[in-house]
Amino acid sequence: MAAPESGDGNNGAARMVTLISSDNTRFEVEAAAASLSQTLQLTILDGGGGGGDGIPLPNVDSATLSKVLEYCIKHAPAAANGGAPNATAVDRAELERFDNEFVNIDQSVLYSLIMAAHNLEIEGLQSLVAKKVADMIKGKSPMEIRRTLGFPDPTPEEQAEMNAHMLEYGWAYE
Amino acid sequence: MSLIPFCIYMKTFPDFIKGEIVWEILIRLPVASLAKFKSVSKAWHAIISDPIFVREHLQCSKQKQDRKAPSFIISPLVLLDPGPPMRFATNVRLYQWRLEEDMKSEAELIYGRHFRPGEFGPVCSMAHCDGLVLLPTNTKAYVFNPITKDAIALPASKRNKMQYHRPLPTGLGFDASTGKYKVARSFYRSRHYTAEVVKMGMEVFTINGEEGKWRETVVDPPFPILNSQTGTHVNGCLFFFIDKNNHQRPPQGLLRFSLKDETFGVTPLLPNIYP
Repeated sequence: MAAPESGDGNNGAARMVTLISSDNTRFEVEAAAASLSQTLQLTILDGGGGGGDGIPLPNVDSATLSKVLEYCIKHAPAAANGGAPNATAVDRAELERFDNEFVNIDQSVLYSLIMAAHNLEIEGLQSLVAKKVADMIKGKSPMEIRRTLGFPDPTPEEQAEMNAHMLEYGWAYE
Repeated sequence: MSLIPFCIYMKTFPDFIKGEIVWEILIRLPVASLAKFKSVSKAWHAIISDPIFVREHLQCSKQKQDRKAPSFIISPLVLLDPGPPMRFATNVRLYQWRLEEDMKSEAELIYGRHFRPGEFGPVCSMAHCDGLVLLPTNTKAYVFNPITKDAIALPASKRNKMQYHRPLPTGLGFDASTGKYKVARSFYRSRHYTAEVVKMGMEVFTINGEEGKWRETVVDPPFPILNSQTGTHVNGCLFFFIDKNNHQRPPQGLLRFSLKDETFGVTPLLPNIYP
């Protein structure tokens, strides 16, 4: 339709969209916040998600979605400023504090978040969660990583390779 | 009893192992962790060794580095005899010093390698590029990666014809077109200095390249290069001082060697600037 969407910021009332989680919970959020997701942005630009329709997200459960939206709502104003070149140091410090606290969560929630951020293509969140996981695993041994990720136990050959590697890179295991 | 956590992992993690997401996480790890995690699985090894991953990881680390205090690599050169600088200790030590705000920080030893005495004699000053360190000596040139503790001795080459006891002009830089690091070393085609112009050539060694040996450039340097110097790397080019004693009409400038095209040029200097 050629008719321009007029409710976008000009008259003060922000446009709202509805997102529906895999377990059928409806979340109403500002379009600007939901648009942090590259995947949703296109649908929203096409005028979707408004009124009684809602956008179904079959891959994201309600607990994860509420967490994702918490991030989006917090980051939407800065994102609207085009990466916030004119944001004050205080604003940036506040976002940083929020981010640090945001990922201070249970591992299983973290892994659901990483999948959701990936599927919804929310760049900032993807990067934030990936950074957190990287910080969590960087001190672990390869064997611990395998266990954490549920890889099967190494075959004798693989074990021999791992031992040889450990000899060569012994310094890295300190 | 051990079945329960296993089930939880099976439920939570399979998707998480997806390549793209693993990539996103690994790209944010320090080099030391990556060296260790190569042995986690074949898939992880493949990602960590992928040249595209290596390049992206470097970009990522550079961005991180920009936000940190500047850091320096310091390497003491120990002269073993008084007099002309002929014999240096073969004990290579690299220290990292970070310029912290309180100025109290100490330099930390990040890499040490003890070469056999006599392995090399005179050395040139080291060069640095993206965490790699080049040590040109009168015998071989060495490249160190102090973070991964890797070191390579570049192979010998027989192209240099002049009997010469000091290091040849050498430089280290990055060729963005191939994503490879290159060491370029100039050599003498003539046996002696004469009244004639000294003829020099240039050879290139690509680090982790397919050749594994020095390769001569298609064109020679248009001017002789001042001996025993380490080239300076800026924006994909190496810069060398020109040997003015061995050319009748030397230009006022620095010799420039492009690591991408492997061609030469002269970058002019203001007339009152050395050299």
